[in-house]
Amino acid sequence: MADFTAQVFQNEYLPSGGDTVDAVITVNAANGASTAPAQGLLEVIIVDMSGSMNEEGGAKVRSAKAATAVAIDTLADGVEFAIIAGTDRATQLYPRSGTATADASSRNEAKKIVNRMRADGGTAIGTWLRLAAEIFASRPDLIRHSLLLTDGKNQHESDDVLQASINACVGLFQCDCRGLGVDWNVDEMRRIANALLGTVDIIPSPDDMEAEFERIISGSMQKQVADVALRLWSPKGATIEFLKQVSPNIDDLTPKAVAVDALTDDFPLGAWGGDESRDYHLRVRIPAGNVGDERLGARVMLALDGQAEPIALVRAVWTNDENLSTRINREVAHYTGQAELADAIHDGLAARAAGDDDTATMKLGRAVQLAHETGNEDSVRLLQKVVDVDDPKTGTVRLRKQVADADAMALDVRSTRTVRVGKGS
Amino acid sequence: MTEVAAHDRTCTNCGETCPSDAKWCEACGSDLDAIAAPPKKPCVSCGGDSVEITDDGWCQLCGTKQPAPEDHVVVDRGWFAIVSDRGRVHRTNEDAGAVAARPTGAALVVCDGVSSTNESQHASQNAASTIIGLVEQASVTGLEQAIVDASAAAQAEIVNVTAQTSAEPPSCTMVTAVAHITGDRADLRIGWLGDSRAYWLANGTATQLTRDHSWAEEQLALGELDPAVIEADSRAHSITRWLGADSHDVTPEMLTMQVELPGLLLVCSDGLWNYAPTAQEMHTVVYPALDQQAGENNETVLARAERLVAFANEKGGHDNITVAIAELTPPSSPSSLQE
Repeated sequence: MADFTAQVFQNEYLPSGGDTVDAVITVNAANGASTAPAQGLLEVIIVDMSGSMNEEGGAKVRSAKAATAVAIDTLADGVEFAIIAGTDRATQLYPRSGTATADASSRNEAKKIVNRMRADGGTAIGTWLRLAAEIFASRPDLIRHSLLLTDGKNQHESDDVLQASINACVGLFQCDCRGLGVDWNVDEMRRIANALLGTVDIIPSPDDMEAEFERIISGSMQKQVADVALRLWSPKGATIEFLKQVSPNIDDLTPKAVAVDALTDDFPLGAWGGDESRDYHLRVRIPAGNVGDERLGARVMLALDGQAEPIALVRAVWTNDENLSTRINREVAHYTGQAELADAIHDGLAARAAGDDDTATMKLGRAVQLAHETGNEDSVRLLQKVVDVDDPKTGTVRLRKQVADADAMALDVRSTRTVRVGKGS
Repeated sequence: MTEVAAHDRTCTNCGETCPSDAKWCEACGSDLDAIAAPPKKPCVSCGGDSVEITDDGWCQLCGTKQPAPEDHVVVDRGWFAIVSDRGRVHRTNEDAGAVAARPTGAALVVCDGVSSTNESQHASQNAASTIIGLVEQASVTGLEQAIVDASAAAQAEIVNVTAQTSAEPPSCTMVTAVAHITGDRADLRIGWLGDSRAYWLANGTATQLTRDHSWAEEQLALGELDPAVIEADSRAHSITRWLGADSHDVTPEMLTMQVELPGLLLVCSDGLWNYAPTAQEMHTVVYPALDQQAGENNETVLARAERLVAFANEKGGHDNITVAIAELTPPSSPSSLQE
C-alpha cells in the first residue's frame, strides 16, 4: 500500500456544551521516491467533433487535431489509451475497439486517424461519456482517466439523459473537462467534473489547446494509485456536517459519502500522484462531553485496495478556559475564507448575469477583499477583468461596463481554486 | 506515581499487595509477570464493552478518551495512603508521589511537575521514586542527610533524562516527610523545594510545616509590598526553588520537629491547598463539621485522601491534585497497623 501521511490543524478546545469540531487535514502521498512499479494507466481522450468546431475558419478543428496529437505524444510507453470523437453520437476513432498500448507505432497510427477527423453533426455529451464508460469498464485494474473537450452546450440530448450518463460513470473513471471558447455551459461541465473527480476550465482560444492538453496528460502520467478514499470514523451520535477538499480547489465531498458501517464512511478521492498534497476541511458535530473530557471527533484513514490505514485523529477537549476555546485555528479560518471567496464570486456573477448590479457589486467587492486578504493573486487578477477595484482592502469596486464573455467564464470556473495558508498579506 | 509500583506489586488477579521482588502472588499464587497487564474496563462515558477500547485508549463507540493509568493513582496501606489525580483542566497528571513504611513510621513524598516546562511528569516520577527508595532504607540517625542526599540523587536522575538542548527542562517541586514514632511522640523530618506543602493536624488545629518557595512568599518575607499587591501579581505563584536541570541549588530546606500523637501528617501539591490556602482552612477541609460528615471518625485514611481530591475537583480541579496522609498513633493504640 502506498504511504500516506496527514497533519491535522484544529483548535481542539470547545467551550462547555460546544459540539462542533472543525479541522483542516493535509494529506500527503509519500510514495514519490517509491521504486515500486506504478499502477498501469488507461487514458481516454474525448474530442468534440460537432459541426461548430468548423467555425473560426477551421481553426478550432485544426487546433483540436494538433492538441490531440500532442496529447498522444505525451502518453508514456505502455499506457493503454483510446480516442473518442464526440458529436450527437460517440465514435471510437482509435483503436476500433478496446484499448491500444502506447508505443511509437500505435501513437503514429492514432495521430494519422485523428488527422483525418472531420467535424460534423451535433452535441450529445452523455453518449460520449457512456462510450468512455464501456471502454473503462473493461479495465478496472488500471488508473482510469479521461480528458473531455467540448466547444458547445449539450444540445442534442435531454439534460436527464446527460445526468443519467454522468451517474452511470461515477467510480468508473475520472474526467478533466475543458470548454473551448465561450459557447459551452459552465454548469454542465462542472457537474461532470465534480461527479467524476476531475477539474473544469476554459480554453479561451484554439491557440491555447496544445499546451493545455499537454499539461493535463502529463499530470495524468504522474498518477501512481487509483481509487483512493478518505475513510472517516466518527462517534455514535455524530453528524458529518461537511467534508470538503479545499486545496488545490474546493470540492464538496459530503454528498459522495459511501457508508462502510454505522460509524464509518468512505469519500472517494480518485487517483493520487507520488508527491501530491491535498487539504480537506472537516466539520463534525458530536455529542458534547463534560468539561475535562476528551473525545475523538473523527478518526481519519486512507482506504486503498480494501485496506484502511489510520493517518490522523481529530480531537475535542472541553474546557472552561475561554482563552483556549475561543482561539481560531489559522488553517480553518483561511479555508473558511477561501470557501466564502468562491461563494462570493459565484453569487456575484449570477447577480450580474441576472442584471442585479447592486448585489453583483457587493458580492464581487467582498470577493476582491477576501482574495486580497488571503493572498489569492490569481483570483484578484481574474476579478479585475470583471470589476474596477478602487480599494481592495475595503472591497470597494465598480462593475465594468464591457466584460469579455471569456473573462467572466474564466472567473466562474476558476473561482474554486484556492491558495494555501501563508500566502496572505 | 507509576514508580510506586516498583516498590509494591499489586496482583491483578486478587488485588493483594506483594513485595516488588515477588514473582508469585502470596495470596492467590498467580504469576505476577503473566498477569501484569491490567484488564480492560468498559468505557467510562458510554459504558461500551471493553473490546471497543483501542490500545491508545479511545472508545470506538462514543470516541471518549479513557483515563490514563496515572490520571488517578491510589496506594492504600491502611494507616497511610496517597491519591494523585489529573484534576479537571490539565490533560495529563504531572504530579507524582510515593509512600513507604519504615520500621518506626512512614515516609511520604509528593512531587509536582512544573506545567510550564516540557514532559515534567518525567521529572516528578523520577524524583518521587528515587527519593522514596533512598528514604525508605535510611537509618533513623541519618534521616536528615538521607533526605538531602535523596534530593541530590533525584536531581541527577532528572538531569539524566533531560535532553541537552531542552530550553525548558522538565522540573518539579519536592516535599518529603518522614515520621519516626517513639512512644506517644513522633519526630518529623520534612525537606522541601518549591510550593508543595506538609501539614501536621492534631488537637483541633493544623500547622503548616513548610514555607513555600514562591515569589509571593519571598516578597511577604521582605515585607516591602502590600500583601494584596503581592497576591495580585502575576508572578505570585511562580516557584523560586525546584528540581530540574536549570535549578542551581537542590539542597532542600529542612525542618525537624517533635509532635504529640495522635495526629495526621499530610503532604500535598498546590492542586489541593490552592482551595484551602491557610492552615485553618485546610483543617476545616480535612475535618469537616460532624453534622456534614456523619461518622467522620470512622473515615479511613484512604477515604479522607479521596475526599480531599474530590473537594479540589469540585472547586474546579485547575491543577493536578496529590494528597498523601499518614495517621500517626502510639504503637500501643489498636488503630496502628504498622507493618
